[in-house]
Amino acid sequence: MVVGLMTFQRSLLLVVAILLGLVATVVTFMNSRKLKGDIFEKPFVYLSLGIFLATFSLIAVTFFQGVLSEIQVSLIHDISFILGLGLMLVVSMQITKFLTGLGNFEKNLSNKKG
Amino acid sequence: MANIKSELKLNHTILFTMPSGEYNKNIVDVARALSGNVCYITTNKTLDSLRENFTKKKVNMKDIIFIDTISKAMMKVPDQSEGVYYVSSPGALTELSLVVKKFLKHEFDYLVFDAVTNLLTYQSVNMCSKFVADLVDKVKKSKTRSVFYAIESAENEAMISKVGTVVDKVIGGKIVKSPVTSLEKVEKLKTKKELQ
Repeated sequence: MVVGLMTFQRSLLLVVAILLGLVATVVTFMNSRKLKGDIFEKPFVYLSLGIFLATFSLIAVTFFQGVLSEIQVSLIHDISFILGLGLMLVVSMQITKFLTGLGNFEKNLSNKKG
Repeated sequence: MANIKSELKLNHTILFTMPSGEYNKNIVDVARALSGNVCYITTNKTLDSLRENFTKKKVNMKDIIFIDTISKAMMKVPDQSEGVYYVSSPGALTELSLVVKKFLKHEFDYLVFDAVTNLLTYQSVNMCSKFVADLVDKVKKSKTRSVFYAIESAENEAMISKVGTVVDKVIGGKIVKSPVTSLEKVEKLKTKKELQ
């Protein structure tokens, strides 16, 4: 199945998805500014970038087909989608690292007390 | 004038205000007075500086677990090491709140917050007072008794008055030494006995 402009033509849901992606990018980035200096600042910046890239892959495949060649559109779509998901994976790993580190410290405290 | 230990027996949370000139002496006196498991949150001095200060004055640090919010903002340090957990910065209130919540499960005898007024360098008065109010609430739900230090100055007045309304008692000035003698005194007494 070819994914392209025709596939999503007149799709309101697609517009909603793109808008939601853009709003989520801005809100997540603004939240990251609120957490300046916090350990969660970087993960939030990465998360907003990840959401943006995933949304951008959707934008590329929908709107760039008339302007760019099929191969170029396909490359932009795939690369931005992979990078977006990769960044979200980094976020997940960073938050897990913080929580497990804290959990381990707490465990050591319990062991000492026990 | 106050005896911090007896005040903590009567009140769950205390705001201890002091002029900056008495700060160094008071933090040593309180650390000496509080015997038992202590969780010490420092937003003012690095752990090395505090340890040096406490070692000089012969304060027993065996039962003190530190949360150092300064060192990580100034130099490269690990997330944690023996007896200390490092937080990114004194302004990292979300992170600090999560760490304290986790630590409070251990039912420390005392929690010392050094010093709430120092948070103002990194965050607004409203954010800081909300954070402290939340922290006081968490402490009250646990068995831990807590002392919050505040440095008296014109810029800190708003913060002190806001925090003063959420804690059980506000005390100020110098600390009356507890009848429980310090390590320094115990050693002196021991040598005296040996001489006799």
